[in-house]
Amino acid sequence: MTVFSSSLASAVEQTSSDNYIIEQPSFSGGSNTSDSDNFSTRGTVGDTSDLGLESDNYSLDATEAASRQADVLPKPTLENDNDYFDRLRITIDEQDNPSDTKYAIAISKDNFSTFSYVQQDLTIGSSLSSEDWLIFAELGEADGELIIGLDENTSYKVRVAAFHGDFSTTRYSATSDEATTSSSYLRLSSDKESCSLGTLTELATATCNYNLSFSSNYYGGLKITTSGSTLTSGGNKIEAIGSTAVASQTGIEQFGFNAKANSNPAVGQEPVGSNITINNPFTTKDLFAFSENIEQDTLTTDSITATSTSTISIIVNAASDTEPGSYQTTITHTIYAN
Amino acid sequence: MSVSPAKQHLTISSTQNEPVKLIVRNHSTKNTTINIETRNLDSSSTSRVEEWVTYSNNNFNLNANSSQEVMAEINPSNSVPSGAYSIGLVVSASDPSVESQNATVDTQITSTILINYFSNSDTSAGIEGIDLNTEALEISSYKINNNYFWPQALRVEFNLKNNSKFFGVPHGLVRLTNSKGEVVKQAKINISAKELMPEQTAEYYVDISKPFFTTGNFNIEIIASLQEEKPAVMQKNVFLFPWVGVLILLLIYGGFKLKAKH
Repeated sequence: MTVFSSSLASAVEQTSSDNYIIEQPSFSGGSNTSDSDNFSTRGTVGDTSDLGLESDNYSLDATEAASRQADVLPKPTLENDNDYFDRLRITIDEQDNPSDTKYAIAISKDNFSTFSYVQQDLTIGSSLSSEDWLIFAELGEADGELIIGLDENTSYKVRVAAFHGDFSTTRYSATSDEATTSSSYLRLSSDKESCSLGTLTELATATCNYNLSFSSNYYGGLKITTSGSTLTSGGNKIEAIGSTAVASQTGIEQFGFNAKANSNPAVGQEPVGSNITINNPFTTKDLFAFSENIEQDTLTTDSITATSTSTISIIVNAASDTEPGSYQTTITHTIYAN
Repeated sequence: MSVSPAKQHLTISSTQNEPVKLIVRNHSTKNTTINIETRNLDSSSTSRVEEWVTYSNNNFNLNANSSQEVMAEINPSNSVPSGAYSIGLVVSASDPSVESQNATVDTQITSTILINYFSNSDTSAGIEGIDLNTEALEISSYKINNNYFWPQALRVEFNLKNNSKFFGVPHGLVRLTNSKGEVVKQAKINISAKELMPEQTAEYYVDISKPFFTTGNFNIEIIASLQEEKPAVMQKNVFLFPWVGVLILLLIYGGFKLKAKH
């Protein structure tokens, strides 16, 4: 049996047994733990504790630090900073760790009753391999990095462990606050349910316009199409312009639309929003087109689309031999995720 | 009106019936009638895959500022070969109190279901039919902006091709390593959730922001994979020469020269 003897009367100089000597062992903090809101410490004598400590924001390893041991990180930040539906941003504070310190991230949907690991490519996996330990640069440094492949409308928490050198992995940090992915969505609405063209004559161009409002948090953006038939009245109809855009011309039958701010005739507005592309043949000012009974790609975006607006302008011209009547049609706009 | 999710990915076999859920929201201040129908979004398919869908409720009233959950089920037909199929759940709203005068405006929202389907009668395919080790994803047409200047981002451009017969969602990263193999910078391929169709090639780029301030040889490694498949990797050695760094070196030299004159 190993028996230690020591002198603690004033300054401790040596703790020894028959076989081992600890020179000037430290003695701090008494024999109980000491806690504040942010830190915890345990009174230690030499290297004895078998338990780690954790407060709301920080963790402390169980034993005294090894010579090359990484700092245990403060609790990481996990957030949904852009209406993401399959990813969340993690940001860690590397403390005083060297730049080649590696970090492993555990992630959980159920407050760590079960958990997975962030992989090298920032997706989620059930196991942690050596290549899944990432350095600060691989985690986006102060800007953080996005963990991807998460479930929609689901809350997650993360913890981070660190190591630097062999045999010196830290315990996990305190658990982050919960962050929740959004649901992916597509939204489309029109500010008008009907668009009145007034009285049609061969002397003037009839116009009407309406605004489509759309948004989506899908990364590939969205597409809006237009379909329908030309104006009809019983068995009579106004000829559609077709797929090649042309200028408005009175005295001949024309039914068409575009999505621009036109001056001849003065109708419409430019789209309001970012990354919006108006597709041919609807993209040139004062030129109009319409193909009957074909789904026509009208507008696309290529990334997350905040609420945006596109004005659809319809023009109609009648000819002198156009049959009188009440002409009607239905224009259908359909939105898809790209 | 909005629907959620915008897209869903399913992997099913012909012996499975797979449930899907759709949430329809009425954002207007008016009650409306919602109608849901299916549409085959795969124009090259002669199979009527839209008939695989059955609904719990595809015609219902939805009050203003409220939402409704709609359950549907995908019941695949065994007569269809293994492959990628896409079905649209097309949601439209109608207000029967509105009478059209000249042009009635309808809006529809399509929630897309992308299905990787494995037919039990198709012995040439199936999960085992995908070669997990090679060629599911191909990286090509690598290019960088060699004349970048700090702190402009270093842009890495490349093509990804889906060589499988199934839908895939590519993801991955581009990393910059030094001669010791240490990672200097890394950025992920910001394309997750945008599918590559079978045989489709698409262009992608990654911006490595504020890469570094050093001239020398580095390795650029592109690691990309389709969902759970093993990644394709491309590695290139490049000599990077940030001209702002050169400019500063010249200024320092000039400063010494000026001091020597005095």
